[in-house]
Amino acid sequence: MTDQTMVSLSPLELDALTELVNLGVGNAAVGLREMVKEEVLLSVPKVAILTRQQAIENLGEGAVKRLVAVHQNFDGDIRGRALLMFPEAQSMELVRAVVGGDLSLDDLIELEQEALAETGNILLNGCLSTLANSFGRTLRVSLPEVVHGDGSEFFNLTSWPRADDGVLFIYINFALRRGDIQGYLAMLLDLPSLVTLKELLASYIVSIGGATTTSATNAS
Amino acid sequence: MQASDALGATAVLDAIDGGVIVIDDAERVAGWNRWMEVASGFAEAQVLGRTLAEIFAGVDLKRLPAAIRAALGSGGSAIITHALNPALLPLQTRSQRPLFHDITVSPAGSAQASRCLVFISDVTMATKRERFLRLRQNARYDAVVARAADVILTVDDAGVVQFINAAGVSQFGYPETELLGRAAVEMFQTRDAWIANWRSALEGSPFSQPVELIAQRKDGSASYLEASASRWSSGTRTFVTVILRDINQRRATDAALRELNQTLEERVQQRTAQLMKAEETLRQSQKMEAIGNLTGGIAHDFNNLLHIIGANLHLLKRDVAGNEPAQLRVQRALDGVARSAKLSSQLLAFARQQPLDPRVIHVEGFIRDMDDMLRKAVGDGITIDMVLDAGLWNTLVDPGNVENALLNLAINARDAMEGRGRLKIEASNVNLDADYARANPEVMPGQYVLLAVTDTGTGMTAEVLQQAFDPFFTTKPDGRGTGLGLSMVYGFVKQSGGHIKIDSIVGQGTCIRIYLPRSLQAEDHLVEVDATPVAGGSEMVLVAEDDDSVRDAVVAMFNDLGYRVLKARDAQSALTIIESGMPIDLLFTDVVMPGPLQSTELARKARERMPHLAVLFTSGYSQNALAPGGRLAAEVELLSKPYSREALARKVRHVLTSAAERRSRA
Amino acid sequence: MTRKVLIVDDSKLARMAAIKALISLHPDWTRLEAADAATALELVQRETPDVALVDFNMPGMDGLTLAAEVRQLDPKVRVAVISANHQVEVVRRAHAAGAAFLPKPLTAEALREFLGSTPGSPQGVP
Repeated sequence: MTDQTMVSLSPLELDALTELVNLGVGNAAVGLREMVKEEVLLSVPKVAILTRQQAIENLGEGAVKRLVAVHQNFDGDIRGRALLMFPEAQSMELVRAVVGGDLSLDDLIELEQEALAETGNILLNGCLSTLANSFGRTLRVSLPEVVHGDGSEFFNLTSWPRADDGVLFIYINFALRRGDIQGYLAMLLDLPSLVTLKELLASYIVSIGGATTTSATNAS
Repeated sequence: MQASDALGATAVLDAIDGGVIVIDDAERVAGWNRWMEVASGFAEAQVLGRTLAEIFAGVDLKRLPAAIRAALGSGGSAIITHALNPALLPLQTRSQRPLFHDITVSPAGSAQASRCLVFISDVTMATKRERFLRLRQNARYDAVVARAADVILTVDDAGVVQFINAAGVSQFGYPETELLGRAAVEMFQTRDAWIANWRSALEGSPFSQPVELIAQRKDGSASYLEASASRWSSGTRTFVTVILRDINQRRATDAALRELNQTLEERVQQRTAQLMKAEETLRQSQKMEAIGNLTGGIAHDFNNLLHIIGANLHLLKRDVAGNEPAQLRVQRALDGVARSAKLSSQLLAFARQQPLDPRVIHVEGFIRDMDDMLRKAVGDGITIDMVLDAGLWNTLVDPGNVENALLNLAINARDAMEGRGRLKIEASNVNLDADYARANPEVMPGQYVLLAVTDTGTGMTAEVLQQAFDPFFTTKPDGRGTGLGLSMVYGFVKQSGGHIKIDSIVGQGTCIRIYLPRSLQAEDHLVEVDATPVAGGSEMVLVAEDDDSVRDAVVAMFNDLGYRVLKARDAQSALTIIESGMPIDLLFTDVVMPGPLQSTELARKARERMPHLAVLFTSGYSQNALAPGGRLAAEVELLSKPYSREALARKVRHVLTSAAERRSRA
Repeated sequence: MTRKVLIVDDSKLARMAAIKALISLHPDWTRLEAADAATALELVQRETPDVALVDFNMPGMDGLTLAAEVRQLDPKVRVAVISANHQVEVVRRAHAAGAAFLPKPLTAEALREFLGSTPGSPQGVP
């Protein structure tokens, strides 16, 4: 798959995007913490823009095929889908962490849908609203939906059967009460949205301090 | 703008079966539908222009305000479920019960006028249904799983314990909290077997046979379990449930069985030997009994015939008085009859059909009295040692037979020792216990008086021992022995309820032990058979006898003795005569007679009429009529066939005298 | 009087944002930048800054640990941990390390408040 049509970001744009995601995930952590009543540890997110194929491959590695995802659509200046995904095998642990460890297996299974929906909702909203706020734009975000499947199923959910649509792929590790749960955030954007994203990032950088050099000693 | 027209669709909103709250960009309520009014108890007019926090003062709204802000600010939607946030808002159903609800918050409005829609849906019914389903499921579950004796363990697809029942907790010895969330493999010694078992189930091809596993309890001990696993799914998750059966008991039982099997052959051999011995004993006694019946039958007939011959010979003797040669011949014939009678009696003794006249005797005194007779019988070449315990118990036995037996044994011993050696005669009290009875099946355990005769003679071989008690079996050269001695002893001992045993070693000697049952009664004093001359009498005698010849002979004898005689051919006619009132002094009747009335019955009835009537029974085959064991009832006298004239005379005299004595005392 | 302010964040953009806020308050103050903990510690030793603004979520050593290290190295430095992740535990730990906590994105007001704390108090810049 060629990516000549893929939108690519400059290092600073990627930096900005990463920082925005950082902010978003940080906000989400606060929300999540309120749910689990315990500190939530989030790793530094790794951000990349990939083709769908690359994203599927990313998910496919590590031999974890079956995933559970919380899915939310968004629409506005940029539109696409946001997915919080993690291995199905870990979903029970997530539920247990969110809901409390004293419940029986039956109870956990019963609450799985709600727990995942709300958790995903918080994390995704955290990211999406941060992006929207930073860009000074509004997005309309749908209610969450819990789906099961694997990478190819998720990334082919799109109704735009364009093979070169971009995936904003974010890898986060979050640790809840017990055990690490490794999740992925992904936002599927169509090409126009990717272009818009790039523009928005550029504006954001300018609004922060300019795209040119800074006036301080730079030791990075 | 009227708040209620904020969205311009009031009627629709009021028709919706769910709460609709419109929030403006200042986070204040701009719309509140009918459903909300009913559920919250607040009318629209009360809530317009206020924040939710103000309306629901004091209620922890959790994520709701933030969600509203996010929806207004950045357009995010949120869901707040009842499952995770029970009873967030204080809402009530129409029947004023708590209303379980899900809340969704969505952006609404336009770019110019940012709005947020809060939608509240009633999940009470669904929640309740779920709860009932769960209760029902739990009840079923409890009934089966919680109470199961087998361990029921569920692991997820990573092998981590997700569930374990009470039986599992007690089996493994860990508290439940230490088992949940733990890799199940840690609890087994046979790790590979465990892994193979549950993995194969996970993959959908479980083992068809239960697998034996060894678990490691918390205390370190091992436990043998049999596992069967199967997988199941809930939604998208797959689990494996394993049932583990405790087979520790079964293993112990199997081990015990194996051991039993090993010793089985041994035990079979033992039992077979025991059985064969018992069989042998049975065969032997059955043989003896068969022979006994045979000889008894013969002897009985023989006796009757002898009686006729003898009686007639007696009479003949008188007829030929004066003719010396003739008298001599007759005498010789009579001697022959006597000897035949003796023979017949011995046969009967063997057949145990000899009528007994048992007395309670103290054996010690009795044997000492025989001392002289024994010494004469064995001769000078043999020393006799008598070892008789003091305090010997009494025994109920026919003294004549004991005498006979000892004599026979002494004579056998003499022959075995060929005239030179030692003869020991012992008497002592013994207890034959259950163990002895087991080894000698025909013996009743109990207390016995033991008479033992031991010699230092040639001894008997095993073959001889086998046949020792058989009638006509003798090791003496032809003519010297009748072969009836030991069989007679055997017969009398058995009939007395005793037991006889021979132990013999070839070249060393033989010991014959006679066990006679102890009697707790006091000793009878033996009435001396008097040797007074024969005397007759003149009393009236009623003779009842079915055999014509015998009857004639008997009647003749009585007449000869001077008695007056009345005859009857059976008990019934005898009774008729008695009831006719004839003054009878003695009833002389055969024990066994044909007819409806038994002779014993006859005697009883006769005694009813004439209490002092003397009764004398006679028989050559008396076992039938008398009590089992051949013992006569008390006060009943017996004269056994064949009898001599003298014997008859004496006995009759004796009986009549006793009756007279009784009469005079009464 | 001028001060030296060290800004530590692996994101260049975040550093830019912080600097922008600083400039709006004290354009004359010296600004030092570090993208990671190692560089930051080096600068603390070499340049002895008065103030350090430290991002919480960094690869390698995180901001809280760095804050503690800096305080140990030079207790006179006033440290603030900056993060969007304002979970109560995080804030607490920052305080425990002797640092203030400022939420991201960093506003001039928040910065002013931090810098302008009453003199004499452990968090005030005299």
